[in-house]
Amino acid sequence: MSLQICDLHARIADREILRGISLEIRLGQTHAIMGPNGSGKSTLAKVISGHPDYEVTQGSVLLDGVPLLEREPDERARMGVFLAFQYPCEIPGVSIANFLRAAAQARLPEGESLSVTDFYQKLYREMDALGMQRNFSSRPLNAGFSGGEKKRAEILQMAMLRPRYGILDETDSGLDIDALKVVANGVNRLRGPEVGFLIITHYQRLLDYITPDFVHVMVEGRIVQSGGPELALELERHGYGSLEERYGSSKLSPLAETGTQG
Amino acid sequence: MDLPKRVITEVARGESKPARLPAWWKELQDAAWADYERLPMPNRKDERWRFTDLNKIAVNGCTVGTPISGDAFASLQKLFLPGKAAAFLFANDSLLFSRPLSPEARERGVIFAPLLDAAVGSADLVKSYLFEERVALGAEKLESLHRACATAGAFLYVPRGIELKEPLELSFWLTEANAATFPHLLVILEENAHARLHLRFGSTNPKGGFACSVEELFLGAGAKLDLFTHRKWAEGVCSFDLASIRLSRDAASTTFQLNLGGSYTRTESRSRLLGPGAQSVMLSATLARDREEFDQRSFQEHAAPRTKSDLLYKSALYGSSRTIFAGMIDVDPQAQQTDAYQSNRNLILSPEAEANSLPGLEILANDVRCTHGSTIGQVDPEELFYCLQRGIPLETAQRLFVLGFLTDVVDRIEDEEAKSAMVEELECSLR
Repeated sequence: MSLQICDLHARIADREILRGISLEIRLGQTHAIMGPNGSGKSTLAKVISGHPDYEVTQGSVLLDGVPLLEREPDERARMGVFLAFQYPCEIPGVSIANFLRAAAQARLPEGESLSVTDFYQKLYREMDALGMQRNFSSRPLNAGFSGGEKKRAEILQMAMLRPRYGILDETDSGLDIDALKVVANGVNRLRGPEVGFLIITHYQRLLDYITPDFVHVMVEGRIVQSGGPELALELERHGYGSLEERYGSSKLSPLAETGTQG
Repeated sequence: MDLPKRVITEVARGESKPARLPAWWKELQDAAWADYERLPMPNRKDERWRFTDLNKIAVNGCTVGTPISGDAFASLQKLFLPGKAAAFLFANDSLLFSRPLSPEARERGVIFAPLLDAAVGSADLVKSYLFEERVALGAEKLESLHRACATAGAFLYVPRGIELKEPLELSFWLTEANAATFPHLLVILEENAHARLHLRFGSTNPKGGFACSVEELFLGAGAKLDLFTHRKWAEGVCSFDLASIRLSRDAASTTFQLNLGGSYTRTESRSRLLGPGAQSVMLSATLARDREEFDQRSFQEHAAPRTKSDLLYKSALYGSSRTIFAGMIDVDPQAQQTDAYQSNRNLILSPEAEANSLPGLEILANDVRCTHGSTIGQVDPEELFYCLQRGIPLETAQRLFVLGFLTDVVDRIEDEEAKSAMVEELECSLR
């Protein structure tokens, strides 16, 4: 069982952003993708989840063997893909509780309706674990939330919806160290043999708290280097500069050429 | 547009007319009938009918006094019986059910009675107020038709200083496709009197009918009125609702309309701020679907200093529905320190839907604060993607946005009970 990305190319308008990404995230694994700004990390997250602005020009994504790319974004989500957004949207007038009820209801077989009591029990349990006030659940989703509150609300949603594959897009951006710990703990609580994670981050900082099994480096729409957690530390020491020099200018990286998988 | 005379003849001169209609009222009807015949049909050249689809205004063959079937009677009874509030329920202009005011309220001099009874029991009061107001935002011909035909409705009188705690209810139903109704509401609140009223319009039949209602609301100094209108006509119903509120010194009114159905619905709402310090809040939440058209015209009339008006009309449009909003804030030269606001917002959910918004100001005083705004927009694609990414299907996501969008108006209601009832009705209607 895995989320298998194979030779994925994608563009927005006329600009090619992903230039052949191959990556397999098995259940139980946590992968991290690091890379400089503009390398295509966030695009990868959006393409997997089906953002309409991006066009896939080549390649495939399989979720537990089922092709994902021809499906609507809501179907992909119900199949088990969850994206924690870098910039979560404000949804005015829709409370967190009502939003999550709609999302939970959508996952039930047709004709079955959600047990409201069970739902709230679960919601309050997860909120307690994330150190969120219960009355937070009746606030309109993300409207007027601080950066930390928004990211916490993303993790709350992930905890409630229990995806098979969770993608975290720069979840650490804009967080102070305390908020970062809370968010990282929230993710660590969800880790286990039944779930795979893809953590996208610019800095190594988040990986101090969520230790990945694999680290990949992305430059110019390609994965140029893969390794264990030590790779993140190495990058932190040397920066992205040398990698960009090596892979950024040339149109083809040795890894993409040989189709080597991260 | 074609208003068959049959509607009128059967009502104004029909045999079924209650014999107890006083002579002065009959005279008013005759004069109104003459006005009706004299006045021109609405036409698109008239600015006040701009954007209206006049083809939707059709009342062919609708008559008052249409008999009520056993099924309709039973379903209305089922609806009425569990209620607690003092209430009157009319169907096809016949009074079917009533629940009296509490003895305490009656002892304190409050009157809540069918109009026909009040015309006899409180003749002087009713005579000096009934059909006095003119909303006159375009539908003068229909207003005359109403005066010529209206007998169903209620009279509410609250004496000086009395605060009615319990809300009152008044409902008007159409039970047949060829039925017509002319509901009338006359409210007189004396100095510092308070009242809350729910006004319901609905259909038991799935299709058709004609309604033309008028509300005349008189608020004495320091009086306070909350009027909640729930409008849920069936497909094919053509309706007009013309409301005028007169506010004396420091009087305050809040009107809220929830519009959930009907083929063509025209509302004309006039707030007349006649005494210093008077305040009027005018709210409307509309769910327009299929081929429905909601045509809303408003007038905020500031005629005295330090008056305040605040209008918020919001519509969500599905299918090939249409909405029209035309509002006017009018500030007289003597109405210094007026504070007036007018906002119309439309959320479009379908490429075939059409919203028209015409906000307006006419200010003749120099020390005022007047603002207006209007928006016509769609669901933000990023917000929609966010919902879809949580596994929420498109239709459900749109429903959430619409609920959020309209709940914003409902949240303006102070009365918690009324607020939650409105949200529930909205949710039910969207299901």
